[in-house]
Amino acid sequence: MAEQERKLHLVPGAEGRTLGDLGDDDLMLLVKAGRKDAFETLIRRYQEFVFGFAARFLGDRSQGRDVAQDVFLALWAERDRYQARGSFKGLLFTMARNRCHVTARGRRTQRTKLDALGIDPAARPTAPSEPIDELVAAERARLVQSKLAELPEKMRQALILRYTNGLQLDEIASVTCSPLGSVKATISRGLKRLGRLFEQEAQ
Amino acid sequence: MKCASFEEMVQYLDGTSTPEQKAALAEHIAGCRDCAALRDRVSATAQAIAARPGEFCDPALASDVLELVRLGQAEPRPSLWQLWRERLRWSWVPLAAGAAAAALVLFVVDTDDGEFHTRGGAESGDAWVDLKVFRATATGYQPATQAIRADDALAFAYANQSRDRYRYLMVFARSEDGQLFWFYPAHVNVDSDPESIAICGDCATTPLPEEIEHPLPPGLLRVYALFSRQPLRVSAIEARAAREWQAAGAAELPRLSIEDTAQRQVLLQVRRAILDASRAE
Repeated sequence: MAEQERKLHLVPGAEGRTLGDLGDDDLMLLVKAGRKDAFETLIRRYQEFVFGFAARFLGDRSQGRDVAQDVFLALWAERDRYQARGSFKGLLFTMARNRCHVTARGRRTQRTKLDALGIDPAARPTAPSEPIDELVAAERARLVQSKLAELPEKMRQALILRYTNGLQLDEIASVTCSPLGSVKATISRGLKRLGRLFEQEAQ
Repeated sequence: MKCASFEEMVQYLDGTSTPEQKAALAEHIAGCRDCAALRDRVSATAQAIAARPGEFCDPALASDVLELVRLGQAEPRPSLWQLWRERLRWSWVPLAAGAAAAALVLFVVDTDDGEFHTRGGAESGDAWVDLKVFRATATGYQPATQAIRADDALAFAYANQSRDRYRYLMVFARSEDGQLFWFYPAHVNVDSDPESIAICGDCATTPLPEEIEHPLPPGLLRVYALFSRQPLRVSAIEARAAREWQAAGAAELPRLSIEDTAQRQVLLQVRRAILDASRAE
């Protein structure tokens, strides 16, 4: 049976509460009514989730931020179509993942162009004064990203949601619409495979 | 207790094993070097992906989004299909009238020398074809009628009522400073020399499949659609454009003198990228 949309009503008692106290669906109800302060509350609540997922998924902080911005703009534009079913986070995740795919496709084209010119987009000039710790951290981050990118998408996705975004297993199952057992197995297999890739790199 | 499997160790570290399992494994690890090493390995792998505190916290993100909302960059827009359907209702009158007028003066001469030649009445085919430019935004497409932003991705749709006369298309743009930007065919490799894309020979407004972004310089931009009977090469068009448009600005470009082609132009004003512009204000 199709899931029914929750009926939402702003009751007088809710007026004394701050926006931060309201749930996602309640905030979206206000957003649908054009309340930008409610929209801002939602952005602040989920920007780290969307930005973190997209940046890790794409392996590029700047592109991850663009995706996050794009997701929230689309959310505002499509606010009238939002259905309150208690799955706001899942919606954000789906929007972010789809936009990551589009970005990754565009990047492949760009990569081809830059290859022809002999330019490495990852190579960025390093200031001589950059502390050694930051250089090591940056190098390590590049290694992690390159190894993550070698994993199958579902595995990478589950690992990012669990360890970058800090979602609980049942939350991951909910946002990815996957059975809990399958999420557990995917994460376990993913960690094993990623660990092996790190070991191979170290040898 | 025997040594833990990889899965059991993940569950232990994730806190999803039962309290009894957790206590038994903790006791085992204390006396088992292999299991302690496995624990460290699993933990290090998970830590490598974990976000550092504040790594993805960006307070400016919310204000940037709200600024773009204020600037009207996130208003619901019709999809490309809706736009095309809408446009079809109106596009037939001028297109049909133009085609009728064109039929009166059109004549075709075939040549065997493979060179391009200008022929009288060659422009008449222009009335059978059309090019529409759209700018992609966060949630859909808007017709690019006059102004676009430098960071806009562009999408295109063509109409071709030539009854199979024109089967190939090129879409490119020339900026005010004389640079050429290729949209179709994709010119991604400087050593390659791609040719026109094949198109439907007789169809109403038809979308081209991609959104394409070029680093467009601010100023006037002339988007050019070149419909032809045979596929043309990028190098040939670039050479001809360099020759014929050498002294021309983007505001007024003469038609390329290429035999048996239909050509359409769209003039756009390129403005600075939205965030650059709003921050500068």
